[in-house]
Amino acid sequence: MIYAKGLNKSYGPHHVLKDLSIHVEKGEIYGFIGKNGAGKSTAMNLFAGLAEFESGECLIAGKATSMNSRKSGTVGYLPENPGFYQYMTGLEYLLFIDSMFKRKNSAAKRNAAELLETVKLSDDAYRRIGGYSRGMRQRLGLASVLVGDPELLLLDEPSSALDPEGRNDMVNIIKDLNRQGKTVLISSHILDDIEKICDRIGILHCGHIHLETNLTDLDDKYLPSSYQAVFEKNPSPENIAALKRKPWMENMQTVNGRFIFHLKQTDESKVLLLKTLGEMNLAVQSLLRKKSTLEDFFLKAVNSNE
Amino acid sequence: MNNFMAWTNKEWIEATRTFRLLALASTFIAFAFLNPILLKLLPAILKSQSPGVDFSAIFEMSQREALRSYLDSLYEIGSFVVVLALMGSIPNEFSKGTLVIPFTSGAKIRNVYLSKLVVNGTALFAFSIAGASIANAYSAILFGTDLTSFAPALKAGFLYGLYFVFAASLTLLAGSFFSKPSVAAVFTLLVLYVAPPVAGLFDLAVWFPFEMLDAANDLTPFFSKSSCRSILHTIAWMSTFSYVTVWKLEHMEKVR
Repeated sequence: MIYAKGLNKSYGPHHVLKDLSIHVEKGEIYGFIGKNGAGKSTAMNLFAGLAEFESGECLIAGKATSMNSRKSGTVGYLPENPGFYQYMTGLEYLLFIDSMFKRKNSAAKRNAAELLETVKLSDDAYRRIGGYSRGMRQRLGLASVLVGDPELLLLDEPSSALDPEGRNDMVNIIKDLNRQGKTVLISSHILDDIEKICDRIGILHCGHIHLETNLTDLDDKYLPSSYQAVFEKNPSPENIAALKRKPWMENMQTVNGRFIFHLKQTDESKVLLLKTLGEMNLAVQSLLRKKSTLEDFFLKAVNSNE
Repeated sequence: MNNFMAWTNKEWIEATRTFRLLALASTFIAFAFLNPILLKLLPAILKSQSPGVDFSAIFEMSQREALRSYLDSLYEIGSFVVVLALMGSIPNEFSKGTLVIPFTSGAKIRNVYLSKLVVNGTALFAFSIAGASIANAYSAILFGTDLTSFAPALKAGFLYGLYFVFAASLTLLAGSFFSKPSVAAVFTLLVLYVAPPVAGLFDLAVWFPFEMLDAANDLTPFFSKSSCRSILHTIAWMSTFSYVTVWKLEHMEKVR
């Protein structure tokens, strides 16, 4: 659905995208993560045909896309801070967007009412957008990009202004849309949401995709196994030093009497940990595998590059 | 509803709900009442300041002079108000990101521009003709009738209307080149206020809308040959401005 190769984009002396290459399959939810200013929004602007890239190739739904040569109605783009005509009501705005698609008035009204219901804005349909909160605007923005039933959704921080309930709704809406066959490229700093819905993620760093992976592979391929242990009696300093020296130990921390072992990414490391603890005669009260989060992965990936 | 009608409807909603039309109408109509009254009261006001001087001999008190005075004021104040009202029309669409969702939904940039020109231009035309008609009728009440028909006022309203549409198209053009509304306004006002004396100096008035305004101020019911040429040149300028504006908007990034 999105095929971009070697995209370059600068703003003055600032080279924002450097040979960005990305491939998003049809029907996939792709998480686009990166630090502030990494170029996520710039990349989305290019995919939406709102800005021009200097070099590279960009295909959206199989069609070469650049500014002024985009396939109309294929892409629905929700920017981080969507701009609306404040003097319109929510319903008027959706009907206005609908009129770009030349549908019959009755069908447009029905569609708008359904979308407002989906994003839970039915009660505010006749209120002017100027009176909406930021979260309500983000909901209206999502409804607006769905008006034309696009194949590809570009969602830039879609839940940044939403409360926990709103975030949960947004996640469920995106899952539903994906079930209907829509492809979604989503950027968010709320990595918990990304983890819940994405099939794949790409970390945009220094203007290009620094790391790309399936979320299912994340733990196995990239993150060290972490175990949290509580002992009946704290290990001696000699034991701690010996554990730290083990070749399969990546790192070791003590937090409130709990020992956290970050093991190197090998099959035998967890076996060796248990074996070593036994050899040291340490009575283990509990030993839990600590699940790594996307945040751990992101921080590791970004920091290793700096 | 097609793309152009949708944008026209949006512009109409914007112009009415943001009170832009009301502000423009108030300017045109208020001056139509105020100018004749001021002219009527001016000798009396000045007389109280300088007793013994007969100011009524200095000022020509007639319907014709009152209408002419209204048209002069309209040129100065009207240009200013039109530019202020429209200076943010294009820059704000970009700075506030309001084009992003419509554009990705298939909005055509020429319709965005044309709807602005059509809605605001039609309003300016209507207010201009209405203002001139009101000033004409009200002046007749205050000073008596000396214009034989309504035609000079209608002609003046028409020509001033066309001039304000020209001013609107120039403001929109400036808005497509300058991202700050204030800069676009200063540029447009400079052109509108500086160009007439410069054009007059080099005998170029007929190539600009300013000859047309002279024709409006002569208050005859007919269009002279030079005024017709000026009208054609004005239309040519507006078409050129429109073409350049649309070209510029199509070739600029839709996000700032």
